[in-house]
Amino acid sequence: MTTQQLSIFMENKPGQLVQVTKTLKEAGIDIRAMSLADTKDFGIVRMIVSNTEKAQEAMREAGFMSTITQVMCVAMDDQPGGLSRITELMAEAEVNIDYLYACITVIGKDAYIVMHVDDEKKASKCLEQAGIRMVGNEEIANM
Amino acid sequence: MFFQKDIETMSRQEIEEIQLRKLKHQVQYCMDNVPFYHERLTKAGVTADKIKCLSDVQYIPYTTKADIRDNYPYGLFAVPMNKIVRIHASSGTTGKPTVVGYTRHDIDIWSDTVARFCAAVGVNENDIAQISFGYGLFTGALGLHYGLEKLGCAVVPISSGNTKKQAMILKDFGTTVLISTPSYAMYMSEVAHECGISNEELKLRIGLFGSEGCTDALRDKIEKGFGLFSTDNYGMSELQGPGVSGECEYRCGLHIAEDHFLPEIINSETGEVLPRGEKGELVITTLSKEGIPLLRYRTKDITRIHYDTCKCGRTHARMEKVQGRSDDMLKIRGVNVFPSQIESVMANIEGISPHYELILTRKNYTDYLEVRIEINDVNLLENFGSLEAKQKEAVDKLKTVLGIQAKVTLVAPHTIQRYEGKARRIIDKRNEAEA
Ligand SMILES: [Zn+2]
Repeated sequence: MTTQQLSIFMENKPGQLVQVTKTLKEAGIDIRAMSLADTKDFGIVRMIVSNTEKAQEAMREAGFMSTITQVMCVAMDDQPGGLSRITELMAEAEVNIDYLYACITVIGKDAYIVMHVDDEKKASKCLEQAGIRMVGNEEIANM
Repeated sequence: MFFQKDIETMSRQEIEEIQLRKLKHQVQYCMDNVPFYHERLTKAGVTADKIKCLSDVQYIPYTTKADIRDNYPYGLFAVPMNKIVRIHASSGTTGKPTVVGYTRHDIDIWSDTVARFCAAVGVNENDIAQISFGYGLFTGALGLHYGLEKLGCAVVPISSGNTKKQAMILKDFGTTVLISTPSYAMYMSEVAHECGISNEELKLRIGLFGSEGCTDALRDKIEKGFGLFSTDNYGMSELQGPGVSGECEYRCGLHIAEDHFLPEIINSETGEVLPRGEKGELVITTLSKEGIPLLRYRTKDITRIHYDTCKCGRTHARMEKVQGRSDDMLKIRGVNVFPSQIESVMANIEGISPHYELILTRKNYTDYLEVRIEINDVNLLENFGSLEAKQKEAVDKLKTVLGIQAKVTLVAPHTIQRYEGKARRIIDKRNEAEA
């Protein structure tokens, strides 16, 4: 199972990130997970939000370039070793993780991580076999 | 297609005979009617009788833009105002504009020379021509307007600006020929597509782009963007406006209307006349002008002229696309850089828009070049590395072409200014006080 991620191009100038979050807030969109990779000059903000299409439309109107990518949102035990178990499983299956970041939202005992891998099918199969749950957009929207 | 086939295909010998006859006449005419030239020519010891062959033109002193300005506004006019039917002026970036006046005959010749390059790419009386140059003192719009009317086209004088409306009219009027600067054509195609107008809904077939330089790479992008075929034309208001030269369908140089303009190529630093085939500054003597005849006018444009007969059958000499005006050339850390070189680099990088901006700064007596480019491929966002690679690609390609290490800044789409006329892509802050 995959979930939609919104990637936004950001110039590295003051106030850009604020404008991103403000735009989403005004559109009534909640951010579930977010990561920012940047150099001195530019960055990419990646996020899982409550309504991806609506978020992209709002960003477009605000003049930002963005794209929607399928990523995996994996539920894990919110206790020591949770994350390492997943990375170990991926290593065993020889799946490369391109990037990974944590969800802001924690419900009950579950925590979530977002990851983009080079072989999504293989990764899903291996996580399923290990009894690890993945969530889709619907569940994220209702978090 | 030809507008004046007999003239456009006459032999080199015939061309030169006409040029010599007209040159002698023009010298005499200047002597008799323009005090400025009377003085200059007398001082140089040149009279019409002393001109025995075309190369004798070299004894005439050059005329520069400064000469026109010094005689602002009408000092160089050769006829009284009752013979002038039109006045144009080029906006001077510094000081007073250069003013030019046209007699009815001048307008007639002007329209002929414009009609020639329009016909040369296949424009005919069935075409609907949308002129998206700004009307006004600038010669581009009215020059094309009269030439296209002379050809029998239905002219839509929309002028520049209000780009959404331009796109709507392109579609609704069934425009087949678009006249604009290359930058504006590019912007208009972006806007048309954003308004949901596809190329299939348009009848556009020809673009007549001019008034600013355009590299082949950028031209390809515009042609793909709009699904049309375009040619370049050349002129400047001092000489008449567009129509001094223009490309034919083979696009292997711009045919100079040699029956009205005598071209020379000179070394722009020493003023020495260069042999045929060499590259240098274009100097033009008007051969038919009545309102404001100019002898050996220094255009500041760098080009090369070919005199062999073109595949299209035209015998009129072809000048290479102007690579850059010697005025536009930037000296960065002692290296000569033409903005067109940067444009061709940009147009050959995938995933970025053709809009860009150059920012020049100086720090500790060293020049820095920053090139701002717009990314427009969302796929670049999939992977941070591909954005970094794009930035590096631009830096490397600029380094290869210019020999200069530039800083490349990636910016979001639509953040670089779009232009409805000539693009102004260079921001030179080097003369500002150091921060
Ligand atoms: Zn030709």
